[in-house]
Amino acid sequence: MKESILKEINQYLWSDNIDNVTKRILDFTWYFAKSTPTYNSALALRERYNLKRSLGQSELEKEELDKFKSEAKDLFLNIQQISIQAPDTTTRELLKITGLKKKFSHRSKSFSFGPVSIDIDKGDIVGVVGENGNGKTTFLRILQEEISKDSGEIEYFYDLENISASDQYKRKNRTAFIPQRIEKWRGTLMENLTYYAAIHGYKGEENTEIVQYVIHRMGLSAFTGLSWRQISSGYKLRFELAKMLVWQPSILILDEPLANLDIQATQNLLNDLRFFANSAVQPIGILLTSQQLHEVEQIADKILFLRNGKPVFSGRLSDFEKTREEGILEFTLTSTPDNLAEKLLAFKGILSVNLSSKVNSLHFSKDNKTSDILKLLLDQGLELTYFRDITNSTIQLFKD
Amino acid sequence: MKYIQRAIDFFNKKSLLWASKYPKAWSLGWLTQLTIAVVLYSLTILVAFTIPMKNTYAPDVRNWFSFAFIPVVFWWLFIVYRLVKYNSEKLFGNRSKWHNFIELPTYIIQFLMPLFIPLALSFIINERVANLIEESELSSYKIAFEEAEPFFTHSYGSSDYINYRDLTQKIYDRAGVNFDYYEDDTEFCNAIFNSQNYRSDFTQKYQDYRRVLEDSIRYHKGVFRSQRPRLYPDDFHNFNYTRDKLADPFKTTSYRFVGDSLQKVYFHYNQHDDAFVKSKFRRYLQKLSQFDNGKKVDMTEEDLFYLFENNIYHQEARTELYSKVKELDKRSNIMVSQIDYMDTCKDRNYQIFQREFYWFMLLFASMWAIFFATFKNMDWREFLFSALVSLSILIITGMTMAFYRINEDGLVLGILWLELIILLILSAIYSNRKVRGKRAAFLKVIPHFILAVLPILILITLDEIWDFWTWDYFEKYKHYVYYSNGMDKQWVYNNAYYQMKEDVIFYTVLGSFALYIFVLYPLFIKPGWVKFMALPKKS
Repeated sequence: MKESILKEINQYLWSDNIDNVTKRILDFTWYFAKSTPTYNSALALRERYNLKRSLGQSELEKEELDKFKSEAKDLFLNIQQISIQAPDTTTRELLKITGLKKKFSHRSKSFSFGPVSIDIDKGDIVGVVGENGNGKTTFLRILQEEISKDSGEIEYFYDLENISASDQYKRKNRTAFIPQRIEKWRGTLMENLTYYAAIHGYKGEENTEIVQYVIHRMGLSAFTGLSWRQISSGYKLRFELAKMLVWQPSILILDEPLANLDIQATQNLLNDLRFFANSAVQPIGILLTSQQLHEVEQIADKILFLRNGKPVFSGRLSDFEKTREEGILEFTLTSTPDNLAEKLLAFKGILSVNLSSKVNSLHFSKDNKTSDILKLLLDQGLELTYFRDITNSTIQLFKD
Repeated sequence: MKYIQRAIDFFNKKSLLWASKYPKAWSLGWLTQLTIAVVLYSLTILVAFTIPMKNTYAPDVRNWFSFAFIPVVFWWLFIVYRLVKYNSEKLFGNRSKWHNFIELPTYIIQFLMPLFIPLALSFIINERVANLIEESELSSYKIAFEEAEPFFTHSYGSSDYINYRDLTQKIYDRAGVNFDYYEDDTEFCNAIFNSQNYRSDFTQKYQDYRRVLEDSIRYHKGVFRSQRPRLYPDDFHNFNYTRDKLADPFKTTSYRFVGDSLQKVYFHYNQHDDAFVKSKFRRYLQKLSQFDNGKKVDMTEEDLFYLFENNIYHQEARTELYSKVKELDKRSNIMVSQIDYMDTCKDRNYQIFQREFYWFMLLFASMWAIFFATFKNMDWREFLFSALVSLSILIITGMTMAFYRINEDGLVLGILWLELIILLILSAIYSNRKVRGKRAAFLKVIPHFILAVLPILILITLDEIWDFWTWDYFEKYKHYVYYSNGMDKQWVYNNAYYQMKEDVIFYTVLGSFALYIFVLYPLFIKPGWVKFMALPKKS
């Protein structure tokens, strides 16, 4: 495990991704060398980096970048000396959901959700996807026990024990939920983080440590004294996430977290979620809903695809691939030649071609490699402006 | 500015420390409140000790008590703001069983804390006023005034009729005068009485009144309020006594009177002992000057005797004495009111220093504490819904009573208790449901609201059964004791009965609150709330 983390950090170092380098070094020292000079250095480096970035410079000047890189390299050498004990990963089960159902009726209209069955383990990221009004938020609210279920079973295995069915408080005590519309908070960011950690049992010195770690880890170093009105919506979400991470929940549920984020912020958030789910010491389960399927699939281990409240697919992405009998490519062209569909269908292995004014798609036999199909398209003299293999993506379920 | 910034930084640092170590205390704003307390209590003490005062002008304790309520209101608003702002249980934070025991008393203490401002302020002012003059010196002023007052042609309201307010109607009935009692008649009757020895131009109405008054009992109650008998039954006692023993219109209870007895004073008056009267005037003028820090009184005993001898009413002295008399009267009034005030302060006799007032404060603070504890333990929509439904039930009950013309207090109370029991049973049934909905929320809240006023409800019920809260109960009891043999009549008039009555009320209030705060709330209500709040909603 240590080797894989170090390899990851090394890759970031070579690609000058100081943001990720400082994050991962901080993570590593937090988990394996807390309260040591190395950890303090990692924390200080991350803080300085955050403060520099928050001055409005999206990219650092070369001189500064080199300085940070040099310090990061020193720390990287230091952490290689740290010996770690492999964490116990024997029990990973978190949630076991079986036949979950819920029905809403209002006058003559009704909506049925489920039956949904899915297991969530520690370290899993589950993407709940589907079009609007298909039951994604309903599912999250039932899991968070904000609303009741009609039937089915949810077994909770937080803290390695099966919490009794009637102890909703204890479960909610371990479940973090970030709604799409974040509730306004009062006071400063620092006060809120300290308070949230404290009411969940992190008091005194322990409280200070975890709050400092999360603040700098989440890139909030320059915002600790700010209040709700003083930060942008992107940072509000980041802060909300920090507020949940300071008390280290067993499961993190996010409803449409990517809705208001720009591309960079989306990538940052997804990377962070991946890091936290995969935490070496305290892996957590994460559920999130989103319309941005490609982005979610980048980090998700499991997908629950809902259509009209019913699960079209539920399980590991690798299992989804097995269910597909043909490959699918999406592509766009500068201009579409006449008779392109007929020309393509003439080739062996091309099963169907759908041309449209926006994105074209091509279904092919799984006997062919994606690279072969790409070569075929290029050989036809086509000028491709966009190309994506969606064979293993649940996005095709939107098109079904 | 630099120091202010340093102070703010220091405070923020401490605030974070509290947030990390004592999150629940921090969420209630205890650090801020303690800071507020230190500042406001210091200011209170500073103000209380620096307010200027002297014999002839002492600040009014009650006015300052009211004034000091301004910061109290702001403090309370701050408490409410903090109570609403953070709620660890709505965030499903860790909870200890001890929290259940601490929560409600903490809220009560919070609501009580600001009340120390007006209390401390008024208490210190009261003590300062009380110590302006020694007890013995104060008595010498009183004696001088009381002994001279019967010879003044102007009354300082020293006379009254025994049990006037309760017995006037009976006296009038007995005298055959068709007369309804009005508050203003007290003054009217006094005016007649003061005039009766000197005037003869009475109208028929005056004659009627006089006939009534002659059949009544007049007594000298003293110029100073503090001289007056304080206990109601003592009035009764002395009423019986004076009726039997004294026939003269100048009658006195005299038991509280200091200096010469009124009989002695009036004896000299009837004997036309001018020297005696003048000596009382002289003494009075000396004392008036002394009271006013030696400021000379521009009048002699001869002047006062002249008014007395010629029966010239103070305010009617249209001679060169007019302005002097007016000034004297003004200074005398100040002296009377100031001495009365200082005497009251010496006895700590204002209501704000009585035990009943502290009960009231406890009830008040507890009511708000319970109200907010309920609010903090549930969704605000459910709370609002429940509050509206509770209000509707009360209105509907009231309207039903009005419609059927039910005005029996006992029946109303009976229905209230019945409602309480039914709702408690329903609440217990609903607490086992696994889903949270408006109906369940309402059933959880209503008994809570009723329980908030449980001590008061118990007291009202006990009063309904025994009437002990009212004097009516005492009346019935007194007559019972009076007419039954073998009981010591005097026992009725001593304080033991009152002590017993106060004890019953006190221990009922205390017991009910102790039961609620230390047994019902932490062991049954609070855990129920916690469980209820975590339940999923129906939809």
